[in-house]
Amino acid sequence: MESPDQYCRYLRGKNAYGLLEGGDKPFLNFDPATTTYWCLRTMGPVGPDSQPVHLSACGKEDRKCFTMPETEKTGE
Amino acid sequence: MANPNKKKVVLPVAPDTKTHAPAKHLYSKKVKLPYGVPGHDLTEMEREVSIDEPPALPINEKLNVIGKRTKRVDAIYKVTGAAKYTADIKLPGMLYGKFLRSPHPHARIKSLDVSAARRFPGVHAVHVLKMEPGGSVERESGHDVPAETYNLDELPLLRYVGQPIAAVAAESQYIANEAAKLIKVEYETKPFVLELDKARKKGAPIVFEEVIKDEGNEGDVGVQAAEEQKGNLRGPTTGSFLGGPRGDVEKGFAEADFILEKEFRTQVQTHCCLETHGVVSDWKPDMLTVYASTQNTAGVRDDLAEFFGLPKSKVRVITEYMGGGFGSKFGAGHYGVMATILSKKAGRPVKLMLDREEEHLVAGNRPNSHQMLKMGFKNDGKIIAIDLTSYGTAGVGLGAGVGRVAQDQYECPNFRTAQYDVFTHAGPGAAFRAPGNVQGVFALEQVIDEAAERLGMDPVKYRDVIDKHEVRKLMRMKGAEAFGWKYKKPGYDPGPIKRGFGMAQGQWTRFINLNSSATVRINKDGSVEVMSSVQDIGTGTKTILAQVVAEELGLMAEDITVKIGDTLYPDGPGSGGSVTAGSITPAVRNATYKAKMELLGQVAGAWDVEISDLETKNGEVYSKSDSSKKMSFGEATNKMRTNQVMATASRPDDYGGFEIGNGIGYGRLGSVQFAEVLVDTETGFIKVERVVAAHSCGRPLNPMQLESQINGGVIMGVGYALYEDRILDLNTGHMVNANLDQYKLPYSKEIPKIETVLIEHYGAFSSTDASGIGEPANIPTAAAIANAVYNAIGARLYELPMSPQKVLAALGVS
Repeated sequence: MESPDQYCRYLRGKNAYGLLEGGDKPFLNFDPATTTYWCLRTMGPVGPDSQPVHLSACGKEDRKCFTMPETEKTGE
Repeated sequence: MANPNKKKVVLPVAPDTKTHAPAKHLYSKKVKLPYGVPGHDLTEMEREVSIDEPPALPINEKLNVIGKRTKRVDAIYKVTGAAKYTADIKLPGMLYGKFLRSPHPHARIKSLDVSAARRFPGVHAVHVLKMEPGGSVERESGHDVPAETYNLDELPLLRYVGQPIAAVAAESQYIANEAAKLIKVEYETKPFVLELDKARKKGAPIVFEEVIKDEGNEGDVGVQAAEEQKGNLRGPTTGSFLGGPRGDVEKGFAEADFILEKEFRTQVQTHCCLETHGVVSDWKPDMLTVYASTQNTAGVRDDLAEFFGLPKSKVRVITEYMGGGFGSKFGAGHYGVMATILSKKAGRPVKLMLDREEEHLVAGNRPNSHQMLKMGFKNDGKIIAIDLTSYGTAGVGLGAGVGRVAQDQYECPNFRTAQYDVFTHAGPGAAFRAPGNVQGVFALEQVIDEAAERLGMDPVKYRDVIDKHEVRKLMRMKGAEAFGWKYKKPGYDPGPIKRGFGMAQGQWTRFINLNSSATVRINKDGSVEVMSSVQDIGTGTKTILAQVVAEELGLMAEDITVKIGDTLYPDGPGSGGSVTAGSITPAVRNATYKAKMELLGQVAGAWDVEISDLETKNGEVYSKSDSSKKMSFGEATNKMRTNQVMATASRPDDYGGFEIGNGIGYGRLGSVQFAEVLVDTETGFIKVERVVAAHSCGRPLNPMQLESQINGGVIMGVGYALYEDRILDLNTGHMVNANLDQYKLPYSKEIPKIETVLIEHYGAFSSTDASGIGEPANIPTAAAIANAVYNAIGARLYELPMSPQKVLAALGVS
């Protein structure tokens, strides 16, 4: 199993368990069929690259907008 | 763009699934806790727990405060209007925000000019959303800034009516509303698709043009199959944390004595919280303070800290009172971020509350569903195979699955599911009270009802055959008794108005959030405070926390000052998924116990007795061995050497550990509901006359509040069953009923008589052994009504909402 670190720090999700945050160890993706995802940068279900936000689409090698969890905060 | 060389990703569906054992303790002790249902099968369960855990609580009848019908500690403030909700907050110099939103379901922005809005008297800040990596970027503020030219590539492609484009902050709501209209935008409109079925078809307008890799979840941890996204279709998801496919479904159907195969449809239900989504954001150089209508103060703080690059210690989120939330108020929200940007730009607090129309368009919704459910049965009633395929749309979002009930509610050796998301040009879905399970139960419980009829069995008795959930069996028994259940032949009543009886059941996982902490402070003057960031979203959390503290200290609930809904205090859980009571109350009791031990230690020293000889009860502290040693609680605290004693505790693991990961507890929360309806076969109108709702949620902390939550769940279920439906204009993409007039919720005369049956069920899971009720209360209602409608008219309705037109169509008279 790969490290959950690969999920973008701006990935967010909500499922029955609660709020999921990118960079969490682990990212508790308990129930993907009913989990809603959004990007903290856009505050919507579409990422800065205009593509859908999803756990499987927000890995580090997937998107140009990916941001590592340990990246220094830069503000908005 | 997807990288073709990307190595296969394995999703951590439940990464800690092997963490089944309870946490290890340096020092532990064994305690015997109540286990089972009083009057039914109550016994004791011995658990090994941390030495820090308080003694086992006996069952409710032996307690003074917990389990008693207790008035809300904040009732007086609510009924007098003294309670201040986010919508009531008004800060000095506060500005009001307003969004400009997309009027088109699919469009590109050709040009954008905010100069007129900036110049409008009373406007202090304007912000335009951009979609470059890095997200929303501030622009210069102030009226003297010339109109900006925007690089069109920076501006978002618009994919639904209501999508935010820009926002203004002004000195009044009226000015803000007018100024937002002055933002000039030229659009290039594009083809769009709104309907689930059409979006699935070849040639439909595509919501996301770039094909991305889709890692469909095969269910079992670590097993993944990648496939290309096909147009607007995404998936399927084939499992959940409960596992993936099992057995051999085709073999199961081959062995079945009979098969039922049905199609069901459920509608889009929008969030209709009484208090709309919104915040008041106050950016100061040393601290960002945000008043939020949220289900998760800590989550809003974390989102804003992350977005603005602030340490969490520099963000404070306050939710003193909150006007309802059903899953959509968890993060900061686009309104929270925008209000904060505007506040930072203007240097003044900004209030940004969505209006009712915006609520319907952008605040989230329960996705619709089209379910194909095939079930194989043996003649003895056993279910031998289940095959569930579903499609649903969460608009431009994902998460339109139909839950776990088909997978888990009944024993079945052969199971598979394929749940697809379908993108459409509509507002995004959001978690909504028991996401997926409400839709799933509507289908499952109707097929179970049909199977009972096919077998010639009473539906209640049939479920006794196939349902192994012991507590739910008791619910059926007690619920049927309260309802006066007697099976009646479908469509039997003479005359045009027919009466029907039906029942359905559901279940919900017992989720625990370990990020649940609280501090309890006992002051020298005898006053007691409990503090946590956990918020009371209207369910009565303040009151149950007061009860737990009071019980431990021998006081009354009104003696306790509850300070919650503020991130200055220790983190509490988000309030969703029915996690709150089960997560925070053990932390509160444990903190109270620690503080009490500190107090009693000081009293024991003064009296020269052992701490174990002391007890707190009925407002007194006394020695169990020496009746002369007794004083009031206030006298005892007055003897403290310091002005206060204080203790903090966090939610420990469940006693006995978790079933899955670090938060999915053993045992399911069951629910069984019975409905009585009248159906007018000439007009098609359905009237729900009565609902009996039988529920368990561990140890009931406050039966009065539980009844209130169950009432709310049933009422919401009636709305879902009969009325609520987002109607989109297929020509414009606009929602035509984005209000609370034509988007109909049950009014007082449409609310049935509701009777609740609470099963006091002890599982020996924690120091309070409480669980939540929010989700279970809502899950089976629509299905129970549907089964009752069938029982009334002898024709089954497979689609929600069950409108008069659909009733007449089912009867073949329209």
